[in-house]
Amino acid sequence: MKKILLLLLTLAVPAASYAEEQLLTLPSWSLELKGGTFAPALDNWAQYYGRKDMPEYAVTLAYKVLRQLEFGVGVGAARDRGQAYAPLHSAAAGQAYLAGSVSTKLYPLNVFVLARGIISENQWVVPYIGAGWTRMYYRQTVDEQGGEVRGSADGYHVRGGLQLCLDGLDESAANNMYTDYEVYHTYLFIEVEKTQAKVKSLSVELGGTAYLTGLLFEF
Amino acid sequence: MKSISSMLLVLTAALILQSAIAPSTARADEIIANNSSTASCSSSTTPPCYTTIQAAIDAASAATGTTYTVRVEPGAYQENITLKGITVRGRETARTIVFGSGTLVTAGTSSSAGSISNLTFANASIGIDATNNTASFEIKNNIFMGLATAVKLQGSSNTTISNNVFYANGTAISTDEDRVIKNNIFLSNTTMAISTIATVANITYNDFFSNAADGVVWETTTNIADDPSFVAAAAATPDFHLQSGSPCINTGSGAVDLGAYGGPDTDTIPFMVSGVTTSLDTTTNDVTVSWTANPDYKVIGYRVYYGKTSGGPYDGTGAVDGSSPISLTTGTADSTYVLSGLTSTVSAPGTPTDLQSSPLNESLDLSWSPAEGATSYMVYWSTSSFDISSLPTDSTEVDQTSQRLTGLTNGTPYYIGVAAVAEASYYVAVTAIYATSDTDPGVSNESWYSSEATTGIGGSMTGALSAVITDYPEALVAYPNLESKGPRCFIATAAFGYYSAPEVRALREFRDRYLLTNSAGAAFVRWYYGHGPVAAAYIDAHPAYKPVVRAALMPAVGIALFMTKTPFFIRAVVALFFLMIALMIAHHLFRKKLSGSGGAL
Repeated sequence: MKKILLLLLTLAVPAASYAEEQLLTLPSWSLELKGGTFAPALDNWAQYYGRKDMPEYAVTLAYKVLRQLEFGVGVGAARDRGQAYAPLHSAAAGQAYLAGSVSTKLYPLNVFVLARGIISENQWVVPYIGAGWTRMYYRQTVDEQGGEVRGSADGYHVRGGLQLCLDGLDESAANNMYTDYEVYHTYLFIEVEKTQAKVKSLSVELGGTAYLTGLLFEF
Repeated sequence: MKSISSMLLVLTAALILQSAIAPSTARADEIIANNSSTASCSSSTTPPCYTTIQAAIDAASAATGTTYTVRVEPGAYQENITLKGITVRGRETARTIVFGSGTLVTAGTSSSAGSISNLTFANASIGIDATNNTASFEIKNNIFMGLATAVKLQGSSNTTISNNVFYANGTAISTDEDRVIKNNIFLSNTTMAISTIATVANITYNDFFSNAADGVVWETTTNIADDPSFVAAAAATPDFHLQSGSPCINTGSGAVDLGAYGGPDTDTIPFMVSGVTTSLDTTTNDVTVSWTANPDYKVIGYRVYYGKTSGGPYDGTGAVDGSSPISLTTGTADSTYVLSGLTSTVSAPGTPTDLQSSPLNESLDLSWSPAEGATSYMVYWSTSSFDISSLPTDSTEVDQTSQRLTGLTNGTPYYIGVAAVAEASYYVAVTAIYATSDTDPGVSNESWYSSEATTGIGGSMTGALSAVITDYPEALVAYPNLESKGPRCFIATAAFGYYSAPEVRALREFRDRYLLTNSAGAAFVRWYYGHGPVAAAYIDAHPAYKPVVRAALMPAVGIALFMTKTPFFIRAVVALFFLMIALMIAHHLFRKKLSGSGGAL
């Protein structure tokens, strides 16, 4: 563990080759495109959907108040198909049997504040943490039964991860990204996001844990 | 290509049918190739078995101390094979097919002796290439069809080609030497029968017919040029057996038949009988069994198998001509036989037990335990109670011990009962035979069983009714259940009869999406749940009022459906329409007020 921390600290230190390069202006915005898996917190998800997680894709846009602090908004989409269960009147307690197909879609809307541990523009690895308010929109249908159940639940989320600056891999490409699209930095990042969003009237928790990776563009 | 596809389809079906009853005839010095998905094929069994011909050849080639031959079980093998001097023999010529692309069999090393026989080669560039094979190598009792070049010989100084059928290839044989080519039939090859630069003297006792060119000037004392009279060369499942009167019968070297089914190494299993059907004479209970006659001239008759078990064993007794099987030995022409004297008595079947229902959306899944002696079951259902003396008209007969009733109404209780039905049924299969001595279908001198036909004899008997159960269908529930489980729409539920009625669901959804999301709506819902149960209880106690309440709720249901089921755009247009009307009314009232005040506001 100490070795890992030491390695991260080493990476967090700006590389010598970039230390002398200073940008005249700093980026004001960041755009994240990310994807990964979302594991709902509900205990029995795998029983009905065949696995404990589902694919999730998301995009966020944030404004940088400071180099280390940004506010933003993000939307995501996760969808899973599984089986419904038969009417409660026939099943013994805890023995509901599966029948038919069901589609459940979750669309989290996040408003967040995010803090980045950046001390140099040429820092290779940037740790970050964030938190914010979440509204989890849901859509659910049982095939051939008609009617889509819609609604939303409010909650919050926290997330954290590491951003790996890609500029050093290909300096000319990084320069082109800046001259062509005004992208200052491009990061590959991985993050863990935990969400809580409970439908209070039903006592159903729609939150869960997401493991995401993607690209972040600062412009 | 269409022909080979049809052939493979028929072959696959036949193999599945026969896989369970295939007898073992392997010799100790054999290695088996068997690619049937239902075969238990393993290299560790005795004899060893491999799923490809090449794997079997490799195993035979690697063995020391014993000279193995490879026996190929019926199947379609998409392979390119290197022979390695191993003798390879198919178990049934027509149903052991090697196909693919390029060269199917390469036998081109100087030491590749042995033989390859009783196989069908189809659809490739070259069937067998024996280039540079100077060892004693035999190609015999095979069928070559749809190949650009069926057999290629070059420097193959000791190869002989005998008792094969070459049908609809480009070039049947391409050779640079005068090889022994005898007892073959060349039919409808589109380039030429034999392409050679050599002066030939060993091409004897063959039949050349309807080829684009024969390719050689052969001596005419032993070769012929007549229609071979195959059973069905151009059929989806080609049959190259000879019909009675064929000029190829006994006209080969050694007085054997020409073609793939002549000579000492031919396979001895007739083609399966097809087209088997049964019909019942309800007066006499005689069962007439009909089939398509097999015109193979070697067929001396048929065997009719019968029994009371589908798929066999066909161990029936009681027919006036004897127990199963009944042998008919009057030649190929037979195509019907009357099974008479079969018993039609049947005992009353038992009673189905453990009838259970699993509710689904607008349907019920039923299952029950089988009843002794049952050949089928009658399933009865009704919204009213019934017993054996008042069976409902809604019923269906099924062969299995489960059934899904569909098209039912959610929330409506249904009464369900099952009764067993017994009927004297017989199952019949027919085989063709070459001799009366062997009695194992598919081994020798007797074909595999035909497809099975069945018929019920006499009347049927219905047993006692099972215990009648009741259940009602209900909509499935998603997980997690995001449909509101909050307090019921009491009045609507009472009026429409059940919780999952579409009208009640619409009201519930409207409540969740448009009322509970704002304080005024939530206040109304709280008020309703405080007073609704009283009204609901009154409606439950006075069912006569339900139609009136339903009618009164219809406008609310309509609004709920409109708000929850129509796209946003439609709702926006309608809202705009009403807004315009409201503005027009307001404008009208404003002008009226203005004119009433004399224009002074």
